[in-house]
Amino acid sequence: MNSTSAAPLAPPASAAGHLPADAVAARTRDLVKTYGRGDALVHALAGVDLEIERARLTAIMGPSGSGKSTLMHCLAGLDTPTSGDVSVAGIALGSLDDNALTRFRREHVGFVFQAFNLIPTLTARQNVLLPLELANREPDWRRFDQLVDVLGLADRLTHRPPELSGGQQQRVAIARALLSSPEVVFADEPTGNLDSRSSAEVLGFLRRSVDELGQTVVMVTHEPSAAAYADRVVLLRDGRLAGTLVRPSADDVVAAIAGLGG
Amino acid sequence: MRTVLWGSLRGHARRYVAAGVAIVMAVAFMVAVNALSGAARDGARAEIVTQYAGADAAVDMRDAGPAAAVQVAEQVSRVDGVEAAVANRRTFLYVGVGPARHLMSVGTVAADEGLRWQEVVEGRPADGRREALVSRSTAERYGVAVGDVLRIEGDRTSPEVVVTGLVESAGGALGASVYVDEQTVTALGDLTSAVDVAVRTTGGEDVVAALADSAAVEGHTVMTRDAWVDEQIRSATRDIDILQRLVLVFAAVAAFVGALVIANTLTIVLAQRRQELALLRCVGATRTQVVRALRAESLVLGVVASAAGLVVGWGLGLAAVAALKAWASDLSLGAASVTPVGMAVPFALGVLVVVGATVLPARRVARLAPLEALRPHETTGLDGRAGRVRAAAGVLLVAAGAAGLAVGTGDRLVLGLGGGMLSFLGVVVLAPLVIPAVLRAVGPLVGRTGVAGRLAAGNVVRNSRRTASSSTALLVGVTLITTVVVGSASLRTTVDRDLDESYALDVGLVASENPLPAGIDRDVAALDGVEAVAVVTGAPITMDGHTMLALEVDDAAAAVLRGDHAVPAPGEIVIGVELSSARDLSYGETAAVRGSGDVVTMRPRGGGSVGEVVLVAPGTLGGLGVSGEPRAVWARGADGAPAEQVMADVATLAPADGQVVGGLSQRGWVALQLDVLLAVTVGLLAVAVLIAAVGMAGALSLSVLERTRENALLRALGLSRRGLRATLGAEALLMAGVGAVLGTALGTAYGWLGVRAATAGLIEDAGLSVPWGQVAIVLTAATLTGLAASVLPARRSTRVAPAEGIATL
Repeated sequence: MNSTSAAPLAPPASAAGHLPADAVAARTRDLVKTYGRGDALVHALAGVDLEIERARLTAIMGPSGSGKSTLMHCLAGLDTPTSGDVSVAGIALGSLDDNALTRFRREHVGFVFQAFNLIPTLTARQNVLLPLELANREPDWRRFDQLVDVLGLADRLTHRPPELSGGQQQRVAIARALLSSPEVVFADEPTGNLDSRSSAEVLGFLRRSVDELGQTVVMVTHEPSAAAYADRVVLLRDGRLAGTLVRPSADDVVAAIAGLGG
Repeated sequence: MRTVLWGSLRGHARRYVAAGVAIVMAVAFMVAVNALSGAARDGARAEIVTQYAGADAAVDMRDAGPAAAVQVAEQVSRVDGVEAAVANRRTFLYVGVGPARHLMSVGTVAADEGLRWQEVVEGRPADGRREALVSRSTAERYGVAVGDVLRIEGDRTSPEVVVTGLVESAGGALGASVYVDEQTVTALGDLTSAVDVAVRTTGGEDVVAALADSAAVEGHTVMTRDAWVDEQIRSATRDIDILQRLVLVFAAVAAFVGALVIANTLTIVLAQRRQELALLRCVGATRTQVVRALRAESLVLGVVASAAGLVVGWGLGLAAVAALKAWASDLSLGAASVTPVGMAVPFALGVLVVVGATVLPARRVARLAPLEALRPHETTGLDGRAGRVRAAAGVLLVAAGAAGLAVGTGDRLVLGLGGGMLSFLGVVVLAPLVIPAVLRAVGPLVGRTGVAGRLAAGNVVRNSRRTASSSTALLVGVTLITTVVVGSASLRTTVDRDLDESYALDVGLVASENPLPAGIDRDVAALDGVEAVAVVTGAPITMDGHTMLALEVDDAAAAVLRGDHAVPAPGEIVIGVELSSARDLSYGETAAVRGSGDVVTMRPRGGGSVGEVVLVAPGTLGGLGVSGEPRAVWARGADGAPAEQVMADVATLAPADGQVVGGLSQRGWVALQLDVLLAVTVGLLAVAVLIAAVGMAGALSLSVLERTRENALLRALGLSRRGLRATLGAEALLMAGVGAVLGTALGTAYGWLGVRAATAGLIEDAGLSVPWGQVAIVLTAATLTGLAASVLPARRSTRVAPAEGIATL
């Protein structure tokens, strides 16, 4: 409640628990993640209750060390929380072993990372198809063609990552994340390495995937201009929710971040 | 996963080159050995078939004497239906060619033309008595020509024979250097050994059956020609089998080194691909899928490399057979051939080694959390549980290996070999713990040399696994080379010492009855190949009732002897081995010795081959009341002097009652065998050393490439290009140096243990002899190789612009 944004600001308490169940793609309850022990104990997450709306673009923001990456890793089943619950698509992740978690990732989750998104030895096409191949599933070729077309990758499919620009690599990663129509696509600083034109392109694609395909996207970013593409911005500080912005402008985000003292 | 597999094979093929080459070499080695053995077996087979081409049956006489063979041959030739029979005998004897004499194999020429198998290539067949055929290679070696006279030194007689023709060189059951007619062989006496009685008949199997039942062959086995040829082939190839198995032991060492090199390379390659593999996990690959993919990769590598090894080995086998046929024409070799098993086993072993070597690195990768893909490559130290498990496993392996080394001597050499490999495996397991510890201790010393030194010292302890991999690669190679160097030096010292004890006297003349003529020492000293001469005085004495000649060994005489084992101390009486065997002498703790006066108690002991005499300390004879007179001339041969010639020359100077004694020829013979043995061993181990060298260069250059980003960061932080090069150089020197020093220490230990194990039961307590000069060369060369292998690729990374390097992923 330290937020001093001019944009419509919902209280943190309302970030969870007020949405109808079918409108929620992912949910955390009292999520705690600590590192180290004794004097060196660090609370990366100190009790986070959060609901991610279906078919919306949610941005997670916060200063360095606020726990935004850890939150995303826990949501995506890449990291296991110290305590608390995470459920995605109605699946409680806490009860899954490593194999089940892996299956969960490839069936329900897509990833776009800041860097090192693609297997360098595979072509763009092979990279896009990789998760489905790992799952031994036949891709939806109509969707494949549609994605390739929308993302402008048609003449880049036989190239390997080193032969692609940063923006192109990121577009391949988006195609890979979207192909299997996952429950949630997680994007970790997806524009961190890109120039402003490529950034706008990538963010535009993520936005279109939400609007046109009804995709749920969670994006960790520290760029207000990127957060401005989101339907909702969740602010984190010191491992706790520090506020939510709904459809903010870049200026709203800047003001809210400044209010966090980050 | 198939696309991942092919993609990564395509993308990482270059990193696998070193590992692949190691496997190609090991497999090729095994296949070449098998091909060569196949050629040898074919050659032996073809030869034996030729040798019995004219025979219809044979009587096995291998367990009977030559006289029995002659008798059976005579009786068999009188059996109905038998046209001819020959008693095939063989022996090794000295053969005089002009003034020189050489040890040669002597075989039999059948009087019957049908049974005569030798193929004359020059001159005419020997068909009369006192005629000989000489194999072409022998004729070339000793300069024998048709028409020459040879003197064959038999037991009682030494017949002279005329060379009537040269024949094709042959081995097999009946092959020899010189062939003489049956009567001449008989004249050589009991020195020959019988092989068989080959029989030519008028008819078929019924004659052979009748022969088998006849009284003529009572007590001996008769076989048809085919059965006997099979039997001979079996026994001939058995020797080849044994040799082949022995050589394959070295192939096992090469494969073992190959396995270490591959495990090491794969550890490095997989460490480099950590992020990529973690990303696979992120996008939904299960642990099993990742491990399976890596296993499939290693399988492809193993199959491709092993297949290449088969081809290369086959080519090497063909080349080796061709080379041997050209240079050693007396070897009977067929065409190079490999049985399916001879191909399949090396191939399977090659594949297995690669797949096996991947197990541990792959398991380590499987533990990788998906999140690793998102983290910068972090340093991996070994501590806590993993370190303790490693330490325990390493110590256990070393202990088990040491136990194998301790008991694996003599007959249980295989145990020793296994122990050696096991303990070295333990060392390799312990390396990531031990090497960083050593580097931590040494580092500060290097750190004093400046910034580059300080950075280098820090770098090598920071990523202990990487450091250990690089150093281990060097360790394997250096250990192997040092083992060979120290092992051969120690073996030589040990054998020399043993020879000094058994053959203290090179050559001597002993007069059993009368004093030697004056001036004979000058004549001996004037001979070619004689280095030092001493006249030894002596007199007859009695010991425990036996009369014998006692020689007084003064300083001059002791100086001629080799070693001091045969030199008697005051009160000792040293007994020559010739004396104790000639008189069947036994002696206890003390002996009662008498000259012309009272009985004196002396301590007897053996002194090796010094002649049919006893040796006493100066002044002993006087104490016994007898006076010595010159009774012997002792001489020491010059290094490399032709032993047979020197002994023969000395013999010409001997007086009527004189006897030539000494071990010069035995010493020369043993030294020659040792030289051949060592040359063969070094040659065979060279394959393993080569594999280790390939692995070493591979590991070091891989670890440098891995660090492009790290190096770029250092450059960005303000380290000059030159400074970076100095840092990398210092690091390489540290890693290589530690690997080389540890390898030298280990190799010294293994070399000594190896000699001990190999000589156990033959020679008591093997001596350790470290040829410091050679070891220093190995140490320096290895360190410099390490330096070159990591600095050369590093030059590329120093040229990369800092920003570019940091962006490289």
